[in-house]
Amino acid sequence: MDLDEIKAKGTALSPWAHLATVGADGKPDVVPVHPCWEGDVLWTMCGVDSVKARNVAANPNVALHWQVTAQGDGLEIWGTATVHSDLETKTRLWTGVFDYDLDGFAPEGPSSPGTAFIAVHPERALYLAAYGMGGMERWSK
Amino acid sequence: MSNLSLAEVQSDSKRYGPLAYLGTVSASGTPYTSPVAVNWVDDELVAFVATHEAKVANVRHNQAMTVHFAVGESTGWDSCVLWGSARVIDTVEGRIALWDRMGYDLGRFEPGGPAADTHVFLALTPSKAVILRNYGIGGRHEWRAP
Repeated sequence: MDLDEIKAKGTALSPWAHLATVGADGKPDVVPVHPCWEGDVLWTMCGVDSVKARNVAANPNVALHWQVTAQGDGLEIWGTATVHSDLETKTRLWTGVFDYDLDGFAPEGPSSPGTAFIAVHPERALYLAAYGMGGMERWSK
Repeated sequence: MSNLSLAEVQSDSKRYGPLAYLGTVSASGTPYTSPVAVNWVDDELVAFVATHEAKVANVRHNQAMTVHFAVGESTGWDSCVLWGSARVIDTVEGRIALWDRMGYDLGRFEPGGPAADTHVFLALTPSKAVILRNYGIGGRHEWRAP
């Protein structure tokens, strides 16, 4: 598989994924997110002070597992992440990248001080059909 | 401060169905998350998994685990999240004790039955739980172990 096929698999599965991060104390955290691709970078909107933003600042390793289908098809991506709260990045991402209206969550727009974005740079991925019983495909950078 | 009991957390968690996203951390500090079928056995949340899976190796190294029950429109985008310490139950005696307590037929996934070493149970003892209504917009409720 190449990364474009990984993107297509994720898009076909669900708009929702579960983002796993690790805190400075070594404890995991998992939250549902609605990520979107910009080129080969996967972006997620977040709060500047959210647990996931703090965790990424402490440990850049992340994983995302797309919501599985009723048949058990799923996709997990591992990579490294960075948090971006600068106005230039937020303005660029605000329109044309996400497939939902960010204003619904931050009515002040890109200048909203509490809003940031997490960029995930994928390094490897695993696609499982029917929880792996239907086969698996791997990708790595 | 707790404003829920563990029994209330357990009751709420059953709204989301048996599937939850389990989070663990590897020895290298890499997180993993995957969907698993879970069930409460007394005060532990238990999952039946293949022995070779990364989540088992992760728990053997780092017992910290989190579970986020499946979020969806049918449950109003509510979340039920647990954090705690997990253990691997990999003895025949341990598997026999749990074999008929998961709410589904484990033999479909492990024809060798509880004697087979190719499957184990992961059991989470929660120390904290949070319930978020509509992503937290509708309220936040918390439980902490005494």
